[in-house]
Amino acid sequence: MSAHSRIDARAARWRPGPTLRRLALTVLGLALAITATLALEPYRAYQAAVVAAYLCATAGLTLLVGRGGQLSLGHAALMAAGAYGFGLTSNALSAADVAGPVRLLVPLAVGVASAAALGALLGAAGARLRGPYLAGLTLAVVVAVPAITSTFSRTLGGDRGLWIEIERRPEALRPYVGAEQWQAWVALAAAALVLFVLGNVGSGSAGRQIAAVRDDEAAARLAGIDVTRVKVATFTLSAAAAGLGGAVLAYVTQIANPGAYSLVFSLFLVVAVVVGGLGSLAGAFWGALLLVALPELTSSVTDALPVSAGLAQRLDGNLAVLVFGVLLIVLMIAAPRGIQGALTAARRRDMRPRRPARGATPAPGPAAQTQGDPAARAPTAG
Amino acid sequence: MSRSSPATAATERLSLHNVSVRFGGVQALDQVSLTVSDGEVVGLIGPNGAGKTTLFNVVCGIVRPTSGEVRLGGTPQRPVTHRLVRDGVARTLQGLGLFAGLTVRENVMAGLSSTVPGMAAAAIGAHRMLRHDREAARRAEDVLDELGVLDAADRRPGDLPYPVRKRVALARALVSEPALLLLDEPAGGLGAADIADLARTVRDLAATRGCAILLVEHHVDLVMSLCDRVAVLDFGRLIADGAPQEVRADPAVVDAYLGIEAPTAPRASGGAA
Repeated sequence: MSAHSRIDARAARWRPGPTLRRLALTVLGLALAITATLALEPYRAYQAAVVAAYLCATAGLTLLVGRGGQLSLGHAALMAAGAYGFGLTSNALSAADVAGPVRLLVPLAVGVASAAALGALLGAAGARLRGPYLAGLTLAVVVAVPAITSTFSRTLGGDRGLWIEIERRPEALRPYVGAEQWQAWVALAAAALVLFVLGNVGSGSAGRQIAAVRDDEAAARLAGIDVTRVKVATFTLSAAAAGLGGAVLAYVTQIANPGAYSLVFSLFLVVAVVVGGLGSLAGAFWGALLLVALPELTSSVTDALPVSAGLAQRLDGNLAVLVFGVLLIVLMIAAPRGIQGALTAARRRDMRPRRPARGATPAPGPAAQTQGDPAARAPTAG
Repeated sequence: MSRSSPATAATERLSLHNVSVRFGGVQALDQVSLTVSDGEVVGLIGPNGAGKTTLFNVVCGIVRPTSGEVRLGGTPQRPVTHRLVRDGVARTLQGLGLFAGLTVRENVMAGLSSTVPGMAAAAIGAHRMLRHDREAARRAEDVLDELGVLDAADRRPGDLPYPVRKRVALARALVSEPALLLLDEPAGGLGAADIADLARTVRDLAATRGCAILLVEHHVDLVMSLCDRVAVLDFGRLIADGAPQEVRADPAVVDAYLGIEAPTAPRASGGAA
């Protein structure tokens, strides 16, 4: 019955994702991305910054929905919390004549903290509400954003939004680095931080617990998992990532306005992570890219179409929605695991012929050497 | 270190004292007292609806008793489900409750969740998190190997035949090396060979590790041959509690339960419980 000799070679080599390697990869990726922005025109650099800001939110959302099985339709509201938290703090610091890195980092931290606090509340509710009820609650929160901003219009700027006095790029960099490049750097650094943290969480025991809670709550409890705590922690973490995304977006656009965090945008975020590939951070990247690229593509299409200016303008706003919807349907039929799922499957197909047959290489498992108590395995007579 | 004769040590691992549970108008458990000692295998039988699962749920903190007391290792407890593993209690579920999105190895590693460092440690990928994962993976592989299903470590539960899944569920309960093991219909849906393996595993756990085992099972032959003691529930009341041969001969038991299911006929294999 023993399977020592047949243990999969892959299993013998199995290791949890080492933090240092992830850190090195993140730093390297960030360095490459930062270098690449130098080659971009200002507008493209700005777009890269927006993609990075969206990536913070989609990465957080994909952890929550894909791993945690908790559907949030309100992530735009969490981004808004981050944006307004950032804006109010940045303005307050500016009014107090505070400048320097503090005026960038403290508002970012406050943005993250505001979103995380709201996320913790939603998570606590989510620990009691299931599926559609939680989704309904998060929907209510995102619908409430414009009402909140207009109720407190003196502080939050109402419908027109809150103009934000921001910390610009350091003096020393100004001759070499454009404003948009600098914004992209900040956004990319934020995205790198989010990917590093969520990568750590997703790869280890914490990610396993999050998935276990999604799959079977009763069994998760019996396995020793504090289901409520895991749910609240997942939602809080996801919200913090979205909050950082919102704060970065506020920094990049220098405004926090309710129109940017609408219900439609919130739904777009969900569609983006599904289309990108639910549960995977790479999928979150594809989703964020689509969120920026699709409206641009559709507007270039409407520009090219021989239609009247009025119609083109109306199409401009709505065509992206239509294309997103169609894309979702097509992808769910063609690649139910999203873009990243399709890419992974394609790579596997490429690899297959070259790989030796499964289990062909007999390797003694680590279990063989480290077996603790031989008596425990000794067969006893019945 | 295994005890030479754990039965004589007889430390009381689990005891219920006059436990009653009432759901609305239904008396699910009525003044039930039961003990399971270290190294002892106790079978809990009774017709459907007799309160067997309710009794498990009381021990696991899923159902609060209306009155009565639960003691673990001699100390009175108000069991909290997710703290049971830390208190040395593990339970398998009738429906297995395997995590479909995790591999078999990860499913078993999840059984060690009570010792996982917090989310903050996870976020920064702290060293102790990685060490925990390595240790958990090693222990999971050990248990899977003991149960003869290490081959399946990288597969998902959904891809495996029912008897293998059943062993994975058992492995998840065993990985924390519990002092008290609650098995909910461990033989349900298994064939003769798998049942023999199961019986060997259970006896081994009790004899060499001194594990206290309480099992709910419909397979009467298995219960009678495997258990040191058999307790019979009927309509929430404990109507018998003693050695298998005594219980088997008890007219009240025959009336309530044994007469219904021909105890001599071996149950057909296959078919999920």
